[in-house]
Amino acid sequence: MKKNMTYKEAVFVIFRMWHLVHKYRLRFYIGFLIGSTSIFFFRFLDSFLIQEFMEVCVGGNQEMVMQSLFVVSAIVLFGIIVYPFSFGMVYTTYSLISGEAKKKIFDKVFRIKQSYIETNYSGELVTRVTADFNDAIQLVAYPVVGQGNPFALVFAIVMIAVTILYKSPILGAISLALTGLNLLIVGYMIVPLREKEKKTKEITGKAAQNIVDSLSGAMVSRIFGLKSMLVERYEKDTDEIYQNNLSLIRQKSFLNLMVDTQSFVSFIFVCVIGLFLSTKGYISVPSVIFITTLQMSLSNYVRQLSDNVSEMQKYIVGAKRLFQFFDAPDEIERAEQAQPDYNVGKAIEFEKISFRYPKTEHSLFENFSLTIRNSECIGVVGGSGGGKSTLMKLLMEFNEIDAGQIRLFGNDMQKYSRSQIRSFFSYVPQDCYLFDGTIRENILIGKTDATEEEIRAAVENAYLSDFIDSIPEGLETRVGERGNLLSGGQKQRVAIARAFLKNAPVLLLDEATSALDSQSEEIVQKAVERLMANRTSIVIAHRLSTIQNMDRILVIEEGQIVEVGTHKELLKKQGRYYQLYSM
Amino acid sequence: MRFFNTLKRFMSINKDYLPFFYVTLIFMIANQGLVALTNYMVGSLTDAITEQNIMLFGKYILILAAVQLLHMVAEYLVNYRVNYLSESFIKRLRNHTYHKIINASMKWLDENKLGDIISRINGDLNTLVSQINAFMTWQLAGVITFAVYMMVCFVINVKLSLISFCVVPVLAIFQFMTGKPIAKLGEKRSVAEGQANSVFVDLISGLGIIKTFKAEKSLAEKYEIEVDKSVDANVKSFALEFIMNPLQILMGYLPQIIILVMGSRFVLNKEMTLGMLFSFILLSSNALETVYSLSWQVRNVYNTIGIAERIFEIWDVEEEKNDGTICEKTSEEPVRFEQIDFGYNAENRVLSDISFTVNKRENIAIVGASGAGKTTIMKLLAGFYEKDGGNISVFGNLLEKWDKEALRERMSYVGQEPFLFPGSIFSNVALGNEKADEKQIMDCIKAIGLNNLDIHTPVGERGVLLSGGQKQRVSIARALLKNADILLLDEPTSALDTESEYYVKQAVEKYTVGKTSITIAHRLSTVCNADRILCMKDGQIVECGMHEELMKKNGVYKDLYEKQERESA
Repeated sequence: MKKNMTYKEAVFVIFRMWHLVHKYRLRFYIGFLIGSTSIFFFRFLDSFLIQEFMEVCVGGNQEMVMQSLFVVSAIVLFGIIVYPFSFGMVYTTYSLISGEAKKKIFDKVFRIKQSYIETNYSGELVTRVTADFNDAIQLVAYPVVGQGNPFALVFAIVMIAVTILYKSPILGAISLALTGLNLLIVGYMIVPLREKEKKTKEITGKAAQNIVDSLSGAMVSRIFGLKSMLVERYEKDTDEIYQNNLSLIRQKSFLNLMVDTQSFVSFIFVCVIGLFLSTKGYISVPSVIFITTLQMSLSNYVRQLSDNVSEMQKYIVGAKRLFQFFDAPDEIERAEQAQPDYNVGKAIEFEKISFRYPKTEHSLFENFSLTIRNSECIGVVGGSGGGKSTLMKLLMEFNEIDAGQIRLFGNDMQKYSRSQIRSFFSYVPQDCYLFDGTIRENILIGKTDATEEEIRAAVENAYLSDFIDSIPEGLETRVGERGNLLSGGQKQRVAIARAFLKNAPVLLLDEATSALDSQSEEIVQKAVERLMANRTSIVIAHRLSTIQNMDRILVIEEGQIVEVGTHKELLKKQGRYYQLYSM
Repeated sequence: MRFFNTLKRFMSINKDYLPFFYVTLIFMIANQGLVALTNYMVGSLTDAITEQNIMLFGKYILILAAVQLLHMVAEYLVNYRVNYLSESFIKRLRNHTYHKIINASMKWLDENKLGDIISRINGDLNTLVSQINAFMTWQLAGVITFAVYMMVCFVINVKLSLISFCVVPVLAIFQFMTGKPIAKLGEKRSVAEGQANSVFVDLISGLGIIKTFKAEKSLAEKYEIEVDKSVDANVKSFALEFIMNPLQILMGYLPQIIILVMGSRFVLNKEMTLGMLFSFILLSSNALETVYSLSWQVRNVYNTIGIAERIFEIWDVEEEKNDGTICEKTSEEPVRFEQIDFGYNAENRVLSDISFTVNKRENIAIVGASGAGKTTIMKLLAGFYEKDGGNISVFGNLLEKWDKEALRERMSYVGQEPFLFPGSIFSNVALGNEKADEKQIMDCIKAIGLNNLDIHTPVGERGVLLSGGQKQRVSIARALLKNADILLLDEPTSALDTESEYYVKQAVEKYTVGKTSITIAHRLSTVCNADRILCMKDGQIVECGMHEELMKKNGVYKDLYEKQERESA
């Protein structure tokens, strides 16, 4: 993808990125346009200063000194006001845009089809999107519109060429030809350098991974005596970096040597010719110096430009991927065409549904049917990959069925808005997910306008009150990033309190207790049982012990219900359930 | 002061490079001297032209060419030497840090969040590496350039030099004063950005739940507040920088304008020649430009010191003690604990008065509620922590007399979470015993039923994704290959589903027959066949015996057992 991006596409991506700026476009474009002249301005100023004073020295008097002082001061003053101002504009706009873009991404994350995320990112959405964002945002930041601005370099290159050609066509033409020669040398020699730089990056990544491994596998590596092997591996990597960089340096130094020699020869060459011309009266000595000083920076700029452009490719690829994410299909909200009847006898009906995960060959469900009565408690067991969790995702419409119909509380699911559908369910997965905030904030997600009594009741029902009373800050205790200041059981009970508060008619538990040790499991199980009372519940379980009291247990393998019945019935059958049970 | 301490500490691992460094320094000075000379010659050349003296011109051109040639050779050498040093420093830095981590005491690893350490080490190391490189190749050279050029300027004209360089101390004071607040604002900025980022990561990981709770809006608000905070800090710090910027540019140009005015007067008054003035300008503007860019980098210094100090913290990490020397067994009794007391810190005692022995070929199980101290016993036995009181003997020798490596050679271990190194199933199993030949490795892989998988493709590549149960079986095969005297199993099935648990259990049972093993379990059904069960409660062994014996006792074990039975009945 990287290599095959066309020029047109790249330009399109850049402009699309800049279009994000829309709200601040005036600031951005003014800042950018002025900023793009900066490199040339300061380069010109430096050369102009020298020329100006030499003119004075060669044939001048005090009056001329004052005159050029005035001119130069005016230009300098212009520069120190205009450029910092324009950079300031670009940089502050960059901050604003990056904030804006972050919010946009966030918004999109909520709107995007869940199934799209699962098929395209398989669990690494965060890393991918943040990495792409960091690359993409550079297109509106320093590397592209700030001080290292490639457009400013292009502008400087063109303007310098024009200036020296204007000053002296002969000398200018010679200078440009010499610069071209210089670039040929660089262009020829720089390709292998790029390869080496890439290699260093790769090995550095490998070495970093090694640190991760040796830390997270500390027990294993020590007991198995792998220390010296790991050290050897790491030192091999660092040595490779070292060798690679040194040979890179050797080549770079040689390249610089060549370039310097060439520049020096050109410098002398232009000087000599210029001075020769000046003795004939074609050009003044100060003008010769003006041209030579300008010409010297020309090849530098071209070299910088090629660096910048290759950097920019990375940013463009990032931006392109970011836009792919932005362009991904949204969940489309539907109008509410029906109202649920919570007293209907059949709460959930799957009618001959078929479902296939995108990018897989076979359908997971084919003509699958299942009816769940109101207030019925269903246990689901079976091997992994059999479709247990998928059933739940289909119910919440995180994934959409390909054929058939799902009826919820008397109506086809399609008759409800998504928001209605999601109000039917309380969902508690294995990794219950708490966000960094207080316990109260985490519980309140269930019902944002809950009263104090409601919260208390939820906490009580989730067997959390003892714990909350025992900690000094009570409900206001922070749970830490992803809840990691709480134990697994405590986290799960907070999630259950949340579900109590939401009080949805259907409860979905996806292996809610499987990661807990037996003690915590016991109390969480108690809380879960309270939560299930008088509620339609579907419980997926690893440990068969947690679902023995269910009204019905389904054994699902490869998208099919292979056995149904109560615990006792299934044991009698001596089939798959019995087999799983006696393992 | 902090700066010098940091430098000293850093150089302590690079002492042997010092002579090379000094020689390089001399090279650098000489090289910049040559550049200054070139600039000086350009002035002389100009004078020769204005005087229309062709002979002199020719002579100067030759000298200039010779000087330039020397400079280019010197430049090449300097370039190489400087980078050689910087790369060597970096390599040392990386290796030294790695040694520290890999030898760090288990205590340190347990006390710190792994994710934090990892991101810190990797992030800090890379930043420090690029800072070292910048320092060696740019900043150091910058200081030398400035000093040498300034000297030559003074040689050309003292008065003009005094006037034009008087701006340097002003610039230094200015940067020193503004450097800190700007650095502070920058820090604020990165903190706010980090916070917004972590909120982002946090929220995306709970996407499904957020959707069912329809909490998008309230969480989005929370996120937006964080983003706004970071944007605000960002804008402020940029604004401050660009208020300062005009002053900085002005200070860059002021000397040039002064030189323009004064210099032209000197030339008109015949105090100096035009060519010398030209040289002076080339040199002084270069010198000032260098100071200017150096002064910008001053603010990086605060940052770099901070980062270096964080790396040094890792250097100071307590290392695992290994002062024992015994490498051989003196008896055939695998393990003996005598009245062991232990706590991870002074306040909380985790184990008290633990005594038991493990006989040869005995399968011991340790059961009890979580937090009872089961895993701690294993960690003590493997020498990861030191007991507070009592004695532990392994094969007849006190634990602390053992050489740690030799001690661990006698042990094999399978933890709760399988840990695989990058590589294939085969190479992961092979890690168990470096002396094993291919057949032995294949036997283990077969014994554990992994041979129908693609064992030679790196795990995680080309669809070789292993389930938790498969990974755990790989780590058991690894332990199998090691074939050590004592096998330690720390709840190897706790993270597995029923089916994988079954296979892993079978594999373990098959392997432990006739071997010495210690198994920690929380499902009592898995340890009924153990030769002896130690039942722990609150850091003490409360019961000990075979399953039937313990059941007869009507004690803690029976309670635990019945509770679990009830759950699954």
